Amino acid sequence: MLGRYIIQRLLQLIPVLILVSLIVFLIVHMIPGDPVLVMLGVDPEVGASYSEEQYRELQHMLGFDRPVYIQYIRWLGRVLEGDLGLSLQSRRPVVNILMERYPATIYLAISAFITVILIALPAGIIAAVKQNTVTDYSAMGYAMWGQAIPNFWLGLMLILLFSLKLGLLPSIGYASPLEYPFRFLQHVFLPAIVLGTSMSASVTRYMRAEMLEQLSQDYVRTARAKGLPPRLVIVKHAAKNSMISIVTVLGLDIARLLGGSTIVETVFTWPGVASLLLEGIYARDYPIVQGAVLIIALTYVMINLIVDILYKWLDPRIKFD
Amino acid sequence: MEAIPSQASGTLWSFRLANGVARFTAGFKVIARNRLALVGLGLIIVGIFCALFAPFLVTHDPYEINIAERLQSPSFAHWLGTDFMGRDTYTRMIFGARTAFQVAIGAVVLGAMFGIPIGLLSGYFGRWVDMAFMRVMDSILAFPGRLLAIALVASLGGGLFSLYVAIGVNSIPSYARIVRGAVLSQKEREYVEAARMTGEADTFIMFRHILPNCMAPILVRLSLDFANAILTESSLSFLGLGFPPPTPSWGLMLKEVSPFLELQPWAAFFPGLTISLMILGFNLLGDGMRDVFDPRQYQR
Repeated sequence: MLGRYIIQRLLQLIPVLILVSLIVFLIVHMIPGDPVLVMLGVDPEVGASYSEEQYRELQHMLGFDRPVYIQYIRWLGRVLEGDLGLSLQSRRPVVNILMERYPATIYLAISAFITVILIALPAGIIAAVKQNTVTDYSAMGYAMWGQAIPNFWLGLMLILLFSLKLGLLPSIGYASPLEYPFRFLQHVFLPAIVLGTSMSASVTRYMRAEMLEQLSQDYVRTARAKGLPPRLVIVKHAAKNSMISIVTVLGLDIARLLGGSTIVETVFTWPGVASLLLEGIYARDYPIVQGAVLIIALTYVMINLIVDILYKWLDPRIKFD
Repeated sequence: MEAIPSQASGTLWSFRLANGVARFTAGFKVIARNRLALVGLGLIIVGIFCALFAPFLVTHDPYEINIAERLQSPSFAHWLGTDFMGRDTYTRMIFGARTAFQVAIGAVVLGAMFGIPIGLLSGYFGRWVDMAFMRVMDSILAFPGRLLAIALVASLGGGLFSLYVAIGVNSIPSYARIVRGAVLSQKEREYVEAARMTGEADTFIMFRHILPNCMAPILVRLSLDFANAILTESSLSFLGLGFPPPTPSWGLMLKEVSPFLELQPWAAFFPGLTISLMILGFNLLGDGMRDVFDPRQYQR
């Protein structure tokens, strides 16, 4: 049954992936004017500062001397072979550059996800248990503000407080968790908090609502009536049952962390794919832009697929239409 | 003879108007009971007021450079201090409301303008129409959050129109899905069946009968979408992909003062706070409206 479901999901993915590739391909073609001139960095007001030979070389490299549909088919063929072209700036293969930057993005997303779990689940549980108290209002205040605060502003404010004023944490930089785990933790702390804030705010809200629902159920009353310690009732019974729907929310949100990473990576100069994308945009290095957008979108699609399949595996009653 | 139909249609319109006003008043009364939604509405009204009457509310010229007074703390002369070029932060923030609303309105309208008809057509006709539209929507959703906006702005260039498209495209699938879901639940109802029996055209049934009955979730989405549009515009401007300097945009203001963060934190504090308050306003109103449109609310 599960095998059939996986095949069905993979088949559904094919048209989506084709359209995704088309959108990524069109990024270059939507540039107003002549994309080749834009990529050569020609300012229309100043005039030409390139040779005819450079123009022809770039035009040929991008395949712009052929009809658009042929360009797309050839581009897609190359992408399927793992060839995303050369960076216009460094002349290195885009795939190699992406592979160097990809792990940092994933480490950051995982760290942010961990902060979400560490903040949101206890906050939601405590808020529900202490409903209509100062603790509850504080947690709900956090849930409201967390979704309203722009992450670049939160990042700047945390840098100001923890790095510039208190000098506790570095504001920029990166260290590989495999080689320097302690330094990695120092560097990832602020970006992970910032990236996870919006998601932890919404999960806190869901967790509180779900816990309130569970705490009003008969089985909780029975557990309390038979004299179980309150902590046991909350953690072992209510929280455990709340987790079923919270896992769904977490799964849906995990991939969204990738979207927020573009800004967080820029604020903290985190050397991931998202900051590479912006570097590519600033330098008009469109093969890099295409590669970065493609790899982030593919990761996003794959995470969503895995989460869907995991649900099906965990709970075969779930139907996806 | 001609006076009778016009009188009849006049009566019909006045009935419709009265009905609309009654529904609006009933909705507002429920919102008014939700204090947080009222706070949200208040924040939005303040924002709109600032955007509309910006020239009458400011103390300086938003573009006036005064290097001698750069990076000042809040004072009587400059209520919220000055930025790195000595421009008045308060004045630029008030004008920033104009920029934010200008982009948000355009982007939200664009998203709804495409998303709602797509949802109507998908839900109403089903089959291959539904499948084709939904696959396109899925592929837009295959790009996380702001990534598509960044990619679109990167290729279309900065400026107002690019921002409309970049932000608006992102919200098309959410309208399409909401409307499609609502249409699926409405189209088997008796009133739609009755309209079909009387020979009314599909377009008329979709827009005149089904759409008004799907308005509740659309209005909630609109409010949340405004918040999202303001956030995306300020994010893009912060990244240097939105409006060019010296446009008074909240995100751009933050970008420009971020190198001077330690020297003058106030210059970064106020624009960020304003963005948060505006987003909070739309989120609170959206949540409040969701409560209003929840039928259980009416029964209480």
